[in-house]
Amino acid sequence: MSFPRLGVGLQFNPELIGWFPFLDQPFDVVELLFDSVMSPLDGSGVMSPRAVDLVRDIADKYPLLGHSNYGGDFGFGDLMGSAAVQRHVPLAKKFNVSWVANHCYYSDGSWSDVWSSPLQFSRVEAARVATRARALQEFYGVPLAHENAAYYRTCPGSDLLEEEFLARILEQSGTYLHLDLHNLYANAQNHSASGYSIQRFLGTIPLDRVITIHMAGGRWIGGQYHDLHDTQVAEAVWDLLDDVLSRARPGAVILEYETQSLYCDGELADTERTTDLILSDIERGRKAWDHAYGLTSRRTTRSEAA
Amino acid sequence: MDAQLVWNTWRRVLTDDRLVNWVLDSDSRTGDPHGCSADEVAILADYAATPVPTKANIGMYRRGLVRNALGSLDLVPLTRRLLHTSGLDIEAVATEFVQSNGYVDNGPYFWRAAGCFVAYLRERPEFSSQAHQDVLAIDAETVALARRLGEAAPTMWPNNAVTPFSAAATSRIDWETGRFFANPAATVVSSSCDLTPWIERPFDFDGDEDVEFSPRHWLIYAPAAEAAHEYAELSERTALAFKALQTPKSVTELSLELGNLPREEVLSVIGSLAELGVVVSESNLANSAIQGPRSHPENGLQPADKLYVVSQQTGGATSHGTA
Repeated sequence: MSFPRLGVGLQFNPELIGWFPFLDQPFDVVELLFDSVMSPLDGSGVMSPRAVDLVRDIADKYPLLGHSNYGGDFGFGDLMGSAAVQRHVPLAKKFNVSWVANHCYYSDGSWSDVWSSPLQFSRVEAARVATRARALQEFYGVPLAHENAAYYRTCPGSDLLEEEFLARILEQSGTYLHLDLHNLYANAQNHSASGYSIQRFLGTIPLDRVITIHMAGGRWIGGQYHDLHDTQVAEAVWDLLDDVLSRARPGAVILEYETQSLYCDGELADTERTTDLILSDIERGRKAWDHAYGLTSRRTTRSEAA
Repeated sequence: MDAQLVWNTWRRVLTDDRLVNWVLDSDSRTGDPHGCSADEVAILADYAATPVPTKANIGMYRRGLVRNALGSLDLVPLTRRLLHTSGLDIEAVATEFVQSNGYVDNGPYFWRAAGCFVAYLRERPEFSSQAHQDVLAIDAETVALARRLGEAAPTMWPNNAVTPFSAAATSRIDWETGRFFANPAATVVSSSCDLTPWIERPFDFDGDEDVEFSPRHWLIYAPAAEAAHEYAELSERTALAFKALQTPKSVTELSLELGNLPREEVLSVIGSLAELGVVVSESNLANSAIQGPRSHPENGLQPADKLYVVSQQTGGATSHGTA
């Protein structure tokens, strides 16, 4: 499968809706969270009534990517009955997304347990997950990429490194990788004492299968680093972006924020300041992209050049 | 370790305070691990070996349940408003609900989640007034309707069912022998109080204000698969007619059901409901390919029992986190 080279964009997160000026920005791409716009799995339709109008304007203006957090993609339940197949696949087709990314967690008709349940990094699970991933990609009809997780601890029974596990899945499924650089950073903060290594991770995964990059920030709370998306992109994550862009050819870099008030220098910023901080990050992302691939390599700059 | 057994065991931990204590409190491990097999105990021990992240994960799960419980009330804004104007600590109420509900994670089954929360609130003494019970009953019926429609979509959604009663289509209806039936995308629920001012302003009514004790009948319907539920007040006679049309009936049969109501009045009742697409004629269902703009019934079908559409509700997904 092929995928377009789009550029730098923002996640259309529910926490940003209503105040962030999405439609005023020259984004190359916007990432749509399927779970936040889908209709209830025990209700009618595919989109929630509230989302129909919200997404229409965004979809008219920007190319969209799809993202699944709670689809039950890799759970043990029937794939055909999952939110991924029943809701996300129709949404992907409805909005003609360029590709879809999903998460490497368990869930079966559940949501709140997702973030505590990273997949078991084992050979048996790599084979099982690869089978579901291949089937899902066929349903979508566009590339499907798997996002590396941030986790507080690994799943019991894991006998592979996360990067070895992901490489096995990609090899067996023919799917792609959605590389979340802040998740790498968060795991390094929490697990470096037990041998976690970002460089080993990046040296093990097939970088030519990286289709998207996520950028975000987070904070230390109670002795643990949390992937909260409530600060600007962490400084070390920008360095990782430069490194990965020099070695891979992703189709998009997506920035993630999940609050109306970012923490900045230990204090909560107001909405206006938060908007400025986000726009500042996006501009920095564009510069990183342009530095790696050239000034006319993004969707918007290509069209300007044309 | 078998991954599915790990997943199932972890889910048990998340919902069982005894197992939470077992993995987080070493003093509690002297006792019976609550019916767990040896393989399950090994999994519990693995989690117990990392108490800090395990505790963080359990806390994250339970906070997520509370957040999603409150988010599910977006589907039932009347109940949501009732809770938010109750003076109660809504986070505390949601936390108590989540605990009383056995820490069940309804995930993408948002309607089920909303229904469980509504059912919980119906039992709380703070919402025991008749008006509050009426609101919660209406929303319980809204949830039940939405879930029925999730199980089986109607042959024609109301927005599409309106069209056949336009001038172009009415001639196709056989009024003498044709039969009519209630669209399954609609339901009727009665209240003891006049909730009109609340249903008109679902986002800013005051749940403490007095409402008149006056029985009312409310039509709840979903105009389309991806449309918000709408509400209309029905007269008692129209409500009876709608309920009678759960089984298809001719004009004559419905007249008998309504105490020999004159034919013209029966037609008026049917027309008023058909105008919203919540009553459909069998013949027009067969001709459902007919499409056109919505219009009012004509040729003697002007609705005498005018329906008052009092509110358009909103519906949507629950709040959640992302990564």
